[in-house]
Amino acid sequence: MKVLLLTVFLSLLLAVLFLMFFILQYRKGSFKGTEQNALRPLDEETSEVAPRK
Amino acid sequence: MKTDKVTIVYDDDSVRKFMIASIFWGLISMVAGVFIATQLNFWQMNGKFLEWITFGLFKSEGVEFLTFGRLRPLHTNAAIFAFVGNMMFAGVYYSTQRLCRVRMASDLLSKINFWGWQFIIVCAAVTLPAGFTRGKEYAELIWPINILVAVIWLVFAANFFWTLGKRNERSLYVGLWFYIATIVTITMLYVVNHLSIPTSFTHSYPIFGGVQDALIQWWYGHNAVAFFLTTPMLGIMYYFVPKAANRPVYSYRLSIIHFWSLVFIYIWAGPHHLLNTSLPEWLQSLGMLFSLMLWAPSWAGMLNGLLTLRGAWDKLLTDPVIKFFAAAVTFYGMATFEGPLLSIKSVNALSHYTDWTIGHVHSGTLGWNGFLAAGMFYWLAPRLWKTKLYSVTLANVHFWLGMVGILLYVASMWVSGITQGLMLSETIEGGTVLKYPSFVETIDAIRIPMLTRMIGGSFYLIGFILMAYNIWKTARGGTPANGTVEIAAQDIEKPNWTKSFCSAPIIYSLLIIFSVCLTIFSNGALFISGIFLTIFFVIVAIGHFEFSSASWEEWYEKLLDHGFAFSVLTIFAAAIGGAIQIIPTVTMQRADNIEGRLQVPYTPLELAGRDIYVSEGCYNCHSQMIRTLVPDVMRYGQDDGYSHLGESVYDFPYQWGSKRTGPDLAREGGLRSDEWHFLHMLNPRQISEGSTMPNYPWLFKKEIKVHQLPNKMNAMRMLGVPYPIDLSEEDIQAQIDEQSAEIVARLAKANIFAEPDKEIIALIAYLQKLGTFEVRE
Repeated sequence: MKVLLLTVFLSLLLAVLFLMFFILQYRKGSFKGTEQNALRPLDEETSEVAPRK
Repeated sequence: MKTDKVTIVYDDDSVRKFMIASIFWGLISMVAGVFIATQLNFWQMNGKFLEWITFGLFKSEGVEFLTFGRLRPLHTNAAIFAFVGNMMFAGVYYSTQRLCRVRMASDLLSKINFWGWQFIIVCAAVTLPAGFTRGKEYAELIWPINILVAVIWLVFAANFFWTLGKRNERSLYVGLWFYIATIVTITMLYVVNHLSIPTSFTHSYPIFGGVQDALIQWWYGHNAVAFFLTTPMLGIMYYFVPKAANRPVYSYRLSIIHFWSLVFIYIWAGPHHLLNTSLPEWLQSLGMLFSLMLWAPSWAGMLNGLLTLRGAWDKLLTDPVIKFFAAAVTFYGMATFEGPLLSIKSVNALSHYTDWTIGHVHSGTLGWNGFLAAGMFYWLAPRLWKTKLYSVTLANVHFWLGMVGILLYVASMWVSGITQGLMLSETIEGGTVLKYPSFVETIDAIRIPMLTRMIGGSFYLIGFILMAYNIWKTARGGTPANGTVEIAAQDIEKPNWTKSFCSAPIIYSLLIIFSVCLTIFSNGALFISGIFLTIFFVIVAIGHFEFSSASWEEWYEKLLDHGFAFSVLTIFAAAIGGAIQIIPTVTMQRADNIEGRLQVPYTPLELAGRDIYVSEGCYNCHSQMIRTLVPDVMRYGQDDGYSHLGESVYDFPYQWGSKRTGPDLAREGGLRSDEWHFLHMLNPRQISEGSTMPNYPWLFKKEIKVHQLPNKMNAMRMLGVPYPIDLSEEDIQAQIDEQSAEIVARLAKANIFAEPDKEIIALIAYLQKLGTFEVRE
């Protein structure tokens, strides 16, 4: 049963760390990351019939 | 609030044209490939077969336009520049417009790019079988076509960079980085390796000779693979794989590491094509080391590509596009594992000059390039013609035919290469005697793998024909359509040219590059100040970065906003390896780099013979480089050891070769009689039973082009060959008459009648000169 305590402790630690980093990032006000560029190819587009030459 | 919308219509007409051209030329290149594979099995395929299929109407022992030596360059050039080149343009034109959210900058430049490139290919298809060649692998095209290639490439570059400049998107996506690297690096490689002195409209000599030419050739040759067959494909992978899988690339950060390490490391690896030769040891070690290092970034790219399919693996069952992409990226990984392996000197001692290398190259071109092209075409066709793919079943059949074809091809080349490599090195009697002294014996041992290669290639070709039919039916069933996108006017952020320069990472990058260039290209006080300035700017940049509490992401993002600075950094990363390897070798006095031996210059007749040797593409099957390896020296050395650097110092172009389908010829001179060569060129099997070499009957009919020799000798003199300055045309003619009369007289003694003005006499003169040198202290 002692392992339960350890598990709870580690989980809480991870949760607190997550919260801490999240708040830090939020306060920094920076919501743009390099990884966002990875979405560039996924833009939607439509198509129109090419004019006859 | 009302938002103004701007509609952008992409130029997909160019994409359609490039795609159709790629498929057409792909078919031509593969037909040529299968055809020359049959020639390696059946010598009759060098022209004699025409006698059979025309039921004797066409009589010939061999057709000059159809020999392996002339068609192999056609196959490689068509596969690289026509098939993959057009596919690359299709992929670049399609994705660049979407990633920049703007139409290509100039429709006129796009049209010039397309039609100019096709014109170049047609010129190549005519000149290569006609025997007009520069005699350097993948750089065979003659100088007027070289200029055309450079012009059309610059038109493409102008159109691409202009489009980047007009983009409606701040940042440059990773695919575009790879395109930038392709454009700037190919420009640099192509120009340097094609520097030539023309002697006529169809002939020129490269300005580099011997070891210098070898180094520059493989700096170019290896990086043609790197920056023409790999970086643009990676750009295409980074765009089309996420598109097809409908999910972003696995790790964008990994792609940053992938890009910069690949661009920096690739360029150093060229000397691995010259391992165990007389190339200076430090260059060989650098080539091997960087080739091994290259494994890491290549696999970063492969893993990034494959893991992009995370959660979409089920599509492998239903979507042929994903099937082709997954296989292509896997082949990229396998080929880039095998490449570093073959670059280890001890492995290379076995593999080099054998079919193992050919198998390696084909796993890259057929598996990586060919399958990526197929995946891209199957994905594009329904979108470009606004319809559904004609037949998914046919696409699946194509996939499996292609896959089995590649595996048959590659496996047979492993068997063939390792078998022949081992046989050529095997000794008996305590290592004092070669076990298989006859080269033909080793050819006999690989006949089954050679046949399997032909079958594998045919499978791949049939699969490709199915694709061509499938795409044609798709196009016929649909209507050409252009992609459009609507963007809000306020979204369009036009980069401010002046303001974008006033950014810390840009300024530091440019200042550091300037200082490093000062160090590399100057001496004395400027050299010292270059070192100090480099150190100074690096420290200031680090200090600024630390104190401003900026993040790497921010600084890198600023670089991506600025296409110019990004391109300059790319040029620098790609150029540094080449500069460090090539500048010392090229600027060194050739007289200091001859290892105690100096080649005896060719007489006019021998020079004419050498040009025939180059024109017939003999270098495609025969090397002229005895490596610093015991079996090589035992087999070809003739008591003179390995080929020293000075023995090819007057060879423009160098003829060290990269494949031994036949034996090495570095010391051929004096080894056999004139009549042996005469009869051997007429019918190799008459002299050497089991030989696969073509017959060369036209050499006995065509006259030596004596009138071209004064110009050629003048060019040679400009390049440093010690021909007398006062050599008149009459002197040249007199020398030719004298030497050819001697050869004809020797042939007459063997009861062979020969005319002194025929090409065969010049070729015999050249072959008998090979390996002639003076000893210098």
